[in-house]
Amino acid sequence: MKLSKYLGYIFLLLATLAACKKDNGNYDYKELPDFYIDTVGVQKTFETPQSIGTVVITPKVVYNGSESNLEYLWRVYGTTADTLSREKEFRSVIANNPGTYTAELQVKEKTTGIRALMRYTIIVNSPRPYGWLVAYETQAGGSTDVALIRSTEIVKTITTDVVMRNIYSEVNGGPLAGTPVSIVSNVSSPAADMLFTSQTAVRLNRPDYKKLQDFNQLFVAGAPTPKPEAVMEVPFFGNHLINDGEVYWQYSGLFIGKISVDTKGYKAAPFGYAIYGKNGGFYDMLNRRFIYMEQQLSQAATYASPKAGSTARFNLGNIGKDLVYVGIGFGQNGVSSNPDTYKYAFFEDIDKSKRWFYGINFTLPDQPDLCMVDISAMPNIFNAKYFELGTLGSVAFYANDQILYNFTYNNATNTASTPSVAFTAPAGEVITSIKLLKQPGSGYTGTESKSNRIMYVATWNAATKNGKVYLLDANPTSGSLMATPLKVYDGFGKIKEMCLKPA
Amino acid sequence: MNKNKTVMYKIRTFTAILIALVTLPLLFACKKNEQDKTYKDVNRIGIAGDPLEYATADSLLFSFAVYPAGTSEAPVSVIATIMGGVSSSDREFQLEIDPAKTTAMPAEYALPPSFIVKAGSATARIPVVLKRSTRIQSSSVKLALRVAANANFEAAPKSTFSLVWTDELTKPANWDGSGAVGFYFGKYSKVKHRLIVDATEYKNLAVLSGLYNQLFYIASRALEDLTAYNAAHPGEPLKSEGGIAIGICSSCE
Repeated sequence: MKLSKYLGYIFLLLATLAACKKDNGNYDYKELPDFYIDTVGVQKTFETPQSIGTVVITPKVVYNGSESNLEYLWRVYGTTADTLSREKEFRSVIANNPGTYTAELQVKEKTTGIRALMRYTIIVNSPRPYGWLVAYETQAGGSTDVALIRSTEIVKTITTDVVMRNIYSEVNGGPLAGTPVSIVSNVSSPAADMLFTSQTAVRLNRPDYKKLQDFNQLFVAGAPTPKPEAVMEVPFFGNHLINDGEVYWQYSGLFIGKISVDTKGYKAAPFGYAIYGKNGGFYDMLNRRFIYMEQQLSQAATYASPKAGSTARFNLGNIGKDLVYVGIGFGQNGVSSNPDTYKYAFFEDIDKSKRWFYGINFTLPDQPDLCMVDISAMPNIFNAKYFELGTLGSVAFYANDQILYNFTYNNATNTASTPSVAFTAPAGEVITSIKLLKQPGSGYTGTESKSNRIMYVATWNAATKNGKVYLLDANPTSGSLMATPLKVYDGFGKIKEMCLKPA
Repeated sequence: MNKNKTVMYKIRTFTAILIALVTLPLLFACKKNEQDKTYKDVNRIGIAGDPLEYATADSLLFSFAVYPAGTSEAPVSVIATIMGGVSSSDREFQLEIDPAKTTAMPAEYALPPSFIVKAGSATARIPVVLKRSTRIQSSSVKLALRVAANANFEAAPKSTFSLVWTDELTKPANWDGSGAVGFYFGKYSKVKHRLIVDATEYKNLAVLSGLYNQLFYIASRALEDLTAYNAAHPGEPLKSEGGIAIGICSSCE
């Protein structure tokens, strides 16, 4: 027993001594080159507008070997990591939506595989913020581009006006085919920026105006031959499309299908309007009647004749006149907060002998007539092409090529005032669009609200191929416009459509 | 002390048995395992349907009803699979129609003139054409096939297969209830179902639960067709088999 005990100690001792043996591994030690990215005094945060403008980052790589021995990889991190470049100097347009991103530079030493890392912050701003959008036929003709006008009158936070021209072609490689039909910018229900031309339509990325979907992609299936004529903007329900006289209703951002009415068929006039609790309404030019669309239904409905004994001055189901314009106007009895603000329409008799001004309450088909005024005596009313309605006063506007008139109406007395000349286009220019601002403006709240206080008038000079936008001070209750424009912007194509870009 | 010895003895015996139990199988593991991989039976052939055509174990059910009215025939497949080795030459096999189980008339289907397993192949796809006859609008017909032995093949255990086809529309299971597609179309009728199926490229409503956009689109196109039909037939609107004029909406007949 004792012997084995000693043997045990000897074994332990040998094992301990063996541990002292120098461990000569089978690897080599090498001197590593001096290799790192110097950060001292280097700009680490960069700011850029989305999709336009180039971000340039020149990293200071310290390396005492040959430059050709290095590999570069630039990546940006958002929800995913995207490779941006493999060059040493980063030079790129950032297409990511507005936000703060981390860009990482990875430099790899090819012989050793060692990497040096550096991170930079890139702040991407919305290049196309709140402002007034104008869609115009390009000076060359046949195609559409868009400008964004940021005036101090509608954006309180800026001190000088900014006009961004050709914002569509700048990021999409060229203008959109066809002449302008409609431009839409809604922040909610449904949130969409869309541009419609006589030949196509596109959905756009709000911050940078890049094309997201083309005409066919805007339909669930079975897109018709594109011939957009108007867009019916119905808050909450969608921006329905009038294409070649047919209405395609929108649901969850896509055009679903064609609206059917009855065996009489229909040809939709290029206007549409919201009706409380409905998918919207339009005018059938074929049968000269109004049509309403129920929610989430392709089957639209007609209005029954008013009940026997009704004193209604007209029948929504059988107007019997040609529609010239219909839009949302001022609420009855001054109740502008009415959820279903009243509609006003300009009609022309079939024999073109008279023009009429109708006030319509679509929620009371038995008594829809707010007013029905013969306006044939109004100056230049028979060649009026452009119309607009105030929403804060009983005010209406119409314009022919040269003169913009305003008048007021009174539903109680069924009368309209004698129109006043509100604006006259300078020699050589023709009016191509009129539109009131119907939002408060950015930063203009409460009593400062600019709603109904700014009238935009677009003109076109065919000789000089110059499109202009006049920004006129408007009186919300009388409709009169200040003679001297607040601002005049020019250098556009032939403007046909305008709308507010609310974000 | 005596008692302890007995316990010790028992433990030892137990240990010995344990060792034996572990060792014996190890010894047997040394025996060479001889497996014969060659097929010893005669060559056989069996038939089945194609799962991609939604065939079940013994039959394929096909409905013309969800195809446009212009579709007069439909190609389907029966797949023959051999038991035994592949051959370097083409081999013919025999299929026969089971007259006791078959209700289809010869004019209602077409089979190829001969059935061949190609050289080097273990399976053969037999194209069968099913025809849309008027009588299947209210019934279904069946073609029962079975393998008949010939010089090349005997029948495999699974050697019968039936094709059943009809032109009858059946109410999709998801028309009512949760995920109901009926919400988009209204009350069910075969006339309405036919209208819907003919309207678009979407044929099978059973797979469309919850796809609102597609269902709205189908409803829109079906309504377009209905309106066109009614306009072409004044005073004679499209009616359900119950004789009521149909419409396309949640509460429509």
